[in-house]
Amino acid sequence: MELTRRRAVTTILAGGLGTSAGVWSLSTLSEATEESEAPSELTDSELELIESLAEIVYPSELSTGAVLVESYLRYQPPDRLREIRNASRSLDISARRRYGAPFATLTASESETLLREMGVDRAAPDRDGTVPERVRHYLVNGLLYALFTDPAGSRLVGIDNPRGYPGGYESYAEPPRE
Amino acid sequence: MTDVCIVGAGVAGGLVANELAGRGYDVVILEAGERFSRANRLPRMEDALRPSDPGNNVWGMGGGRDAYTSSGEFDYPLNETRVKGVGGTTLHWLGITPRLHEKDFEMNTRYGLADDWPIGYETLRPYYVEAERQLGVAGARDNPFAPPRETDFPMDAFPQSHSDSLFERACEELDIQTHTVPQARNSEVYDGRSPCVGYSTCIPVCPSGAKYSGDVHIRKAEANGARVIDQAPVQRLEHDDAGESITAAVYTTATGERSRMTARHFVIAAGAVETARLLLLSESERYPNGLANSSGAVGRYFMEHPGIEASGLVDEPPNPNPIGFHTTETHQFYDHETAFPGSLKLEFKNANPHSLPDMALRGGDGSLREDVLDVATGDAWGDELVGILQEAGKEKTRLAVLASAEQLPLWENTVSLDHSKTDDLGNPVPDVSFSVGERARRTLEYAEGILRDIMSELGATEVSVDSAHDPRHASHHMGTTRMGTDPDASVVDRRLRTHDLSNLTIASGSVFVTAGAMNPTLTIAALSLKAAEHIAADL
Repeated sequence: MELTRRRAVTTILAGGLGTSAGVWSLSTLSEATEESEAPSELTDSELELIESLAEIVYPSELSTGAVLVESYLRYQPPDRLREIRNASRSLDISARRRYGAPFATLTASESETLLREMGVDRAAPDRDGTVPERVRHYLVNGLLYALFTDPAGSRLVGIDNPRGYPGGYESYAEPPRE
Repeated sequence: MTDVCIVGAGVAGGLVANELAGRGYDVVILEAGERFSRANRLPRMEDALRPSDPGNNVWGMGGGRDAYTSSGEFDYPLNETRVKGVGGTTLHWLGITPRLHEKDFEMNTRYGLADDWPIGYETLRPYYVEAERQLGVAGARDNPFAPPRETDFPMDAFPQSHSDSLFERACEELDIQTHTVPQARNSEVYDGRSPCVGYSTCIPVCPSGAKYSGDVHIRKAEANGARVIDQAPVQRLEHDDAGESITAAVYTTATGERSRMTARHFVIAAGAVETARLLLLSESERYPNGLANSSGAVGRYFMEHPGIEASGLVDEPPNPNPIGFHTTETHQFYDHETAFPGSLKLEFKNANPHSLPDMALRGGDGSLREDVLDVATGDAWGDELVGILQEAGKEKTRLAVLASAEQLPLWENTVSLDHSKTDDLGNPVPDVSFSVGERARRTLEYAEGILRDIMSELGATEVSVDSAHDPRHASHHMGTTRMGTDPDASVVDRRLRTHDLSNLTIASGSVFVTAGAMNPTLTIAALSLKAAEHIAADL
């Protein structure tokens, strides 16, 4: 992934960029913008951490991760955003304990090692669980959900209009591509 | 005084409320569940798609409020089949809206089975037209087996899927005619709501609002002046000294206070489980076996739609892109000349090979075994995960057909009170106890032959068919306060009014005398419109 994404996420979350709202239904969009404001509860460093994590869990060829993360965080209600923030802080504490540095500054190899040492890859996601279970639920799986409910991720595996993405209903009538 | 108090804010309660509020009556709706914010539908969809959040919890079902027991042949997962809240169970329904057929109203006259309804198809027909208009039904007139209809559907049908064409080819060889499916889902902008945008999560949540749900008519009713009190489960109904009319609905507020709602007329629109339960909870000296239960039929004749599914692996890949609903059925096996086999409806699934987010969030695991091995091996992410998912996508994929069968009303199939267990307010919980009965089981066995023929014609391998002895159920609750002309054998009359109490109407699948094999919601909607007309005439 491109390093510019981190900056992009921060900008977007501060309300600076347009969204991918063009594909949302009008009713969803108007309500979402009325009732769920930009996630002001996340700090810049928390956003940086989430983006650093995205660089680990997203495939290397992906170049549009920033937009995915932005869209995902934008519709999270305040209580879930709070849990995302809490999981981010827990992950950061683990990084500081293990490497003496914030998670966002770790190398890819260090991040990968930390996540696996914590057992995030072996943990069952649980919103009320232990630190690795919550990191898995709110962060790793949240990011994977954002990716694989979007064509940016699903097209990597041959699906143009995945479940969870409002890409119109017509695509189901199309035959498979040769 | 309030003119009409309605218990339940689902599709039935919403339609009745809107009809009456629109005519200027003062209407109050008491709803046990909450009013869900439409803005939270995207997070709800996420819950539904995440493997760690079973769809059942998307609408908060479970817990002390919704406690129940199941004591019959099946361990019936009641809370997975219903939703409490503004919109009711239509919040998580699929949205399929066929009409019942003429024969469904005349089972006794035609076959000597069960009982006839006190009304026929022709009586309900104008209400079907109106229900299709109000809910917004997309459909086409290409079904040669459908009962007579007078007009085109309000919206064009959804196009058929790629896998439909595979089924169609196989069915042609077997002389089985397939056709489109009427559904309350917008194929275009309708009634101010979005067309379907393909989130593909109809069950359990439609984020776009393209799928009709009962909250649509609750909002219309509120615009017409109706009031909704949510999180207000009704505990019992009280009647006058003579036992001839209801005087008040006793309910508990969100803050735990007990309150009474008086009104001139009362409507129970709480589905076939809670409607029967409320009547049974409202027992009194005058009605020791439960309110409106002189017949003893309250809670009896509970019906579902049992079904079996066949699936098989096919060489030709089905739909690459998922969709949350099906677009082809056949009703060729619905009407029948003789008593056996019973009605069948076949649904051709728009099966997608696998749920991509589900597999991705499980680190690429496609089976429980792989999940278990995670403890040792760990899950994949990043490039490794994409590689696993790409390989999984190359595997042969399954096509599936579901056959739903008619289940006859049986006295011993019940919703009753289980006094050994109480809900969070101290009331006995509902106990659901039923078996599908011999005729439905034999009908499903007959269906198995048809399904195997179709799979064989498709050239499917590794074919798997559910057992008729362990069918799946469609989450269609019917019976329990049946309609009829005889007060000794039925609970409500042809006007949906209880025989016992003059100001109590029931608008629910609970009034069905027989169930057919068609999805019941359009009929519930039509009956609700009819009930509203009678209430208005009497107020």
